[in-house]
Amino acid sequence: MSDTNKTTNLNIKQFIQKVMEGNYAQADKHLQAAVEQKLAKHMKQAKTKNIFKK
Amino acid sequence: MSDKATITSVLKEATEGILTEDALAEIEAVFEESVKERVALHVEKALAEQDDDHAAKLEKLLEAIDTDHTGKLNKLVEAINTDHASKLAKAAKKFNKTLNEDASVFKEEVVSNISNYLELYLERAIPQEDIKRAMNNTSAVRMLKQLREALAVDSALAQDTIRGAVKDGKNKIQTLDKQVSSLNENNEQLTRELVRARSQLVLESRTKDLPETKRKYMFKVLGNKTPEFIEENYDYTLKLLEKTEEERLEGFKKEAASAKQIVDRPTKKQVIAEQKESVVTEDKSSDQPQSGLLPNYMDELRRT
Repeated sequence: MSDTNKTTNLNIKQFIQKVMEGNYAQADKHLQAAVEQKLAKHMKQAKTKNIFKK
Repeated sequence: MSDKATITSVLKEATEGILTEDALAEIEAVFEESVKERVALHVEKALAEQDDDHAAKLEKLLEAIDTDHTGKLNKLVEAINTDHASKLAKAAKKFNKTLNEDASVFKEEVVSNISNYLELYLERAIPQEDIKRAMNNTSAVRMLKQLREALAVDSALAQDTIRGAVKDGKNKIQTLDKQVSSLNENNEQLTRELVRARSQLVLESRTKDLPETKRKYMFKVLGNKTPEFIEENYDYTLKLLEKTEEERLEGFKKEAASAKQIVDRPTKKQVIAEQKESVVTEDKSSDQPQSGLLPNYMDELRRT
């Protein structure tokens, strides 16, 4: 598992934890961070593709 | 009826017909009443005894039943406790296993499911094709900007006027660079000469009253130093020179004192000649005051 996936999973765990504690503001932050990391991963996958390569 | 007939007949025979039938019937009724009362008393007594006996027996029976039930209940409680304890131990073990292993697996599964859900949601909300297209556009824009900058410089250099100006500037820069180098060299040389001249001037001004020997010595030692160094160390160097001179003279005196026993006494003419010669040489060698030293030396020679 890569570092990005570990960080994403950690954010999801903290999101669940904060939801169970009722701390919804922190839960929102962790969920937002997880979504941003997933988006960044998708963008990185798209970026590594050489646009001039046939 | 037989008893009644018997009592009536017995009374008839005993009284021989004295008692009438009514009296006999009354006597019989009283007798039967009395018998009934006594029977009732006996029955009541028997019933009371039977009741006491049964009560005692029942009490014993109840005690025995209680003892038996108590033992059985104790065994039952013990068995139930043992059973419940083993079940509780099993339940605790299962709980711990569930909490430590199954819960971890469940947690990982939940996280993985949420992660997958987020992936699917993002793919549906923002398709991967759109992201790729946006990234391609950004990369293309950045690359085009770099190409534009490179091509703009090349096209500017391609024009003759600009190329000539650039070459002219380059030549001027190279010429000025050479001039700066030569000027720097001249500047360094002039600075060195200035320092040397200032050193000579300082030494000349400081040693103008000294004898020639000391002057030469000072020029020899401090001639190639900076004026600041000369100003700082002039007095120390001069004192060092004088001290060395004194030590040298002390050495001469000791040498003369040690050699006077083996040397023959010179004649008076020789002494005078030596005295003149030594005065001349000392005047030439240094300006140190030797006038007090020579008479001492001569007195020592005369005394021996």
